[in-house]
Amino acid sequence: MKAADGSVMDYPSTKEEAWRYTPVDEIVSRLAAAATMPATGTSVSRQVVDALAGDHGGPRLVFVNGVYDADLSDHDNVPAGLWCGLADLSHGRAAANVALAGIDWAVDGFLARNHADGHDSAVVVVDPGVRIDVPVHVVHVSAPDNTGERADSATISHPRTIIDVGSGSRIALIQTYCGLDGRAVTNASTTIRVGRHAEVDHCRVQTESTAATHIGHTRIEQEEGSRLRMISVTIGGDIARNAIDVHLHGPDAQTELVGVNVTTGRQRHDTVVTVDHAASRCASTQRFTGVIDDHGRGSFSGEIIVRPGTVATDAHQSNRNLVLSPNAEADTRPWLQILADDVRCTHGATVGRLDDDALFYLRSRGIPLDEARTMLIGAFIRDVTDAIPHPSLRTHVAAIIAASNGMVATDPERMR
Amino acid sequence: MSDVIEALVEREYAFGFHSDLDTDLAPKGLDEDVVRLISAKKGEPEWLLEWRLAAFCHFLTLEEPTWSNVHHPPIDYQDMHYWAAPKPKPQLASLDELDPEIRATFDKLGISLAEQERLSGVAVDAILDSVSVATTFKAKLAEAGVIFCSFSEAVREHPDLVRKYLGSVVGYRDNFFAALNSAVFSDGSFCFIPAGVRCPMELSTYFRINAAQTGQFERTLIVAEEGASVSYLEGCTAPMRDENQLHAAVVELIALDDASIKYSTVQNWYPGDADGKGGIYNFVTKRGRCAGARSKISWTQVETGSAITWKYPSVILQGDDSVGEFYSVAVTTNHQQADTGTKMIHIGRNTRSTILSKGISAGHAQNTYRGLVKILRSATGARNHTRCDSLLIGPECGAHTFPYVEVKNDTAQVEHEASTSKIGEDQLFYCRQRGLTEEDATSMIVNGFCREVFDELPMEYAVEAQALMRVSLEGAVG
Repeated sequence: MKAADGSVMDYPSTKEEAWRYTPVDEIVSRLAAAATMPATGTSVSRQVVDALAGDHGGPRLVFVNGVYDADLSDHDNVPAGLWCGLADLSHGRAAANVALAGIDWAVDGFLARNHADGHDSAVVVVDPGVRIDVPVHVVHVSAPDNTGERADSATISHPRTIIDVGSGSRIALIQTYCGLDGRAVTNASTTIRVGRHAEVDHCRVQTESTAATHIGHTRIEQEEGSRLRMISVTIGGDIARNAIDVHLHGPDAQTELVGVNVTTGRQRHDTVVTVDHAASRCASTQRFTGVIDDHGRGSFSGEIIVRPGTVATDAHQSNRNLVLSPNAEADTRPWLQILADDVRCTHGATVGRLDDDALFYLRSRGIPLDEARTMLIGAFIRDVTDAIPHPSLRTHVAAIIAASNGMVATDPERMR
Repeated sequence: MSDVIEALVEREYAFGFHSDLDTDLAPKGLDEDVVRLISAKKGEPEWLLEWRLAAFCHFLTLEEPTWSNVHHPPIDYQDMHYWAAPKPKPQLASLDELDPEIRATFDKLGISLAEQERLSGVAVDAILDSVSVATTFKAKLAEAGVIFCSFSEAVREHPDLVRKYLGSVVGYRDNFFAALNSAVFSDGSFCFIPAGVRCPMELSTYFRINAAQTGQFERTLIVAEEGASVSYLEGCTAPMRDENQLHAAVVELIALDDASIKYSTVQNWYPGDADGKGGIYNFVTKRGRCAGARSKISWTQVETGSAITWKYPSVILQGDDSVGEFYSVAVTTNHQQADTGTKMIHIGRNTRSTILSKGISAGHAQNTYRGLVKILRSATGARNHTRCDSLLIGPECGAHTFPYVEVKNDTAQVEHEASTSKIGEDQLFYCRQRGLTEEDATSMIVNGFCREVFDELPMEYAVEAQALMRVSLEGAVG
C-alpha cells in the first residue's frame, strides 16, 4: 500500500501489539473485496439522517458513502469565527490543514489508504479566541443498496475529518458514523489539533449496522494549556476498531477520554488508546467501559507513555468490563510505559458479570429480572453516557444502547 | 543496626570472586557433537540423549525472540562453553572429602555445607558451574521418602520418574531458550515428594557460575504427589567478569491432588558494573502445573542481580480449586534491565490466582512487568487479583507495566490494579525530620514497599533479601 508521500506501507499484523486483538486479515480481505466490487449506494433522506444521527442544533455536514451531500447538510447557521466544510473549498487555512494533516504520521496501511484514496474530507477550523456554543456535527452515513445483484457486496468509504482549533477557543464537536442495514466498510481518520489554551469537547458515536466493518483512527495533538474531553461510543459494526492517539506536546495540557463499547451477537470491538505525555505537568485520564453479550468479544488496549525529562505527570487509566453471556469474551491490556520519575500513574482493569446480590435485591423488591438487568447495565455505563454534554445526543445514544442490548423499556426517570 | 547497614553499604558485589578450580571444559560452540558429548560425559541413557537431540533439532528451527523490552548485543551461541565442570575427584564418602577449594567457595558464599547440615536443617544441593557438587542431608530426607538429588543422579537412580515428568510442563518446543536448555542442560536438582509426605525441611539449591565464558543451563524438576508439600529455595551468584554470561535454566513444578509447592528465589547474579559492562543474562523458563484438584503452587522471587532478567514464572491451574500465587520484587539499578512477571492460565473450575509484583527502578535501569491472566472457557468461577506497583528513583530510569487479561468465561472475576510513582517527598521529609539520612530513609521506604513480598519468603531469606535491596540501591539515591 502506498502512503500519501509515495512510500510503501503495509497493513499491520496481529503480531504488532496494537493490533493483537484486531482481526486484521478479515478487515483487509473485506476492504479488498469492497474496493474491487463496491456495492451500489442508495440515497438517504433527511428523516433517515435525523433518525440515525440525531439533530443537535449546530451546523451539520453530512457525507453519504464518503461523499458530501449538500442537501442533507445544514450549513446556514455557522457562527462567526468558525469555518466548516469540504477540504476542496477554497479556504486558506482549510487547505493548509489538509496539506499538513497526517503526512508524516500515516503509521499503518489503513491510514495510508485513507489518505491516498480518501473521499471528501470534512474540515472544521476555529479562529483563535472564539467560543462556539452550538456543537458542530459531522455525519458519515454508509448506505449500501440491499437489493439487486450487488446486494452481497459492501460499500467502501474513507472518511477523513480535520479539525483545527485556534488558541484560546472553545468548541464542541460531534462525529457520528452511522448506517443503513447491510455491508459497508468504513476506514476513517480524524485529526484534531487543539491550540494553546483551547478547549474541545468531542463526542464520537459509531452506530453502523452490525454487518459493517469499521476502522477508526483519531489523532489528537494538544498544545500548551489545552483541554480535551472525548467521549466515544461504539455500538455498531461486525468488526469495529476505535483507535485514539493523544499527543501532549505542550505543558499543562489536560485530557479526559471516556468510552463505552456495547457488543452483542458476534460483534468484535477493539478499543486502542494511547496517551503520550511528551510535555511536563500534563494530566490525563482514561475511563473505558465494555458491555459484552452473546458471542461478542470486547478488547481494550490502553497505553500511557511518559517521555524522559517530563515532570509532574498525572495519568490514570481504567477499564471495566461487564460480561453478560457464557460465550462472551473480554480482553484488557492496560499498559504503562514510564520513562521519567516525577509521575503519578495508576491503572486498573476489571472483568466480571452482573452482581447476583444486586439482582436479587432488585427482584426481592418486585422488579422483574429483565428490568433489573436493564437497570444494572444502565448503571454500569451511566458514567459514560452521563458525560455526554448534549442532552439530545445523550437521549439518542441511550436509546440505541437500550435497543442493541436487548434492554427492556423502563421508566426513563427510574433509569436516570 | 547501623553498623550492619554500614557494612553492607561498604560492600560491593561480594560474590564477585572467582575460585581457581581445575575445570573440565567442553570446546566452545554448539553442535550435535557437543550435545552428544554432554550426554556421554554424564553417562546418560539412550532415551535422554534422543530427547536432547530432538530438542537440539527443534532449536535449530527457532529464531531468538525479540519481543521483550530488553536490549542487548546479539548473543553468539557459538562463542561459549556448554559444559564446564570441576575436574572429577574420586567418589566422595562424605562431605568432609569435598574439594577444599569448592568448600572455600561455598564458605565465601555463606553456605557452609557442613554448617548447614548441622545447624540450619536446610538441605542444600549446590551447583557450581554445570555440575551438582554436593547434596546435604540426603539420609534424613530418604527416611521421609523424599528424593532430593542432582539431576544426573536422578537420571541414574530414578529414571522412570524423570522420564515421566521431564518436559511435561516445559517441553523442548516451548520456546527458544527452553529448547536450548533441553539440548545442553548440564545438571540441576530433582526433587520428589511422595504421596502424603510433608517434606521435613526446607530444600535449597545454590547455583554459581564460576568458569569464564560458560553458559549455565540447569534444570530443576520438582514433583509433589497427592497431599505432599514442600518449600524450595534457590539462590544464585556469579563472579565479576567483563563479558556477559548466559544463564538459561528451566524449572518445572508438578503438583498433584492436594499437593503444595512453594518455590522461592533470591537471584543475585552479577549485574555488571556501574557502566553496564559485563553481567549475567538471566533468561529462564519457570512454570508450574497444578495438575491435581486443590493443589497449590506459589512463586516468590527477589530479583536484584543479572544485567538482564527475562523470566515469567507461571502457573497452569488445571486441577479444580487449585491455587496459583506469584510474589515478586524486582530491583534494577545502573544499567540493569528486567522484563519479568507471570502467567496464570486458568483451566479448572474455581481456580484462584494472586499476583503481587513490586518493581523498583533506579539509575539508568529499565524495569518491566509483563503478565498474562487467561481464563479459559472451562474455568467456571475463576478468580484473579493482580497488583503491580512500581517505584522510580531518579529521572533517567524507566518502569513499564504490560499486563494482558483475557477472559472467556462470564463467571470469572478478574481485577488488575497498578501504580507507578516516585518515593513520596512527604514520606522522605517525615523520616529525615526524625534524623534519618536520605539513604536510610529511602531504604526504609523501599523495604516497606516490598514488605508484602518479603513476608512470603522463608525467614532467613527475608533477612538476606532486605540486605540485598540495601546493597543494590546503594548510591542510587541523592
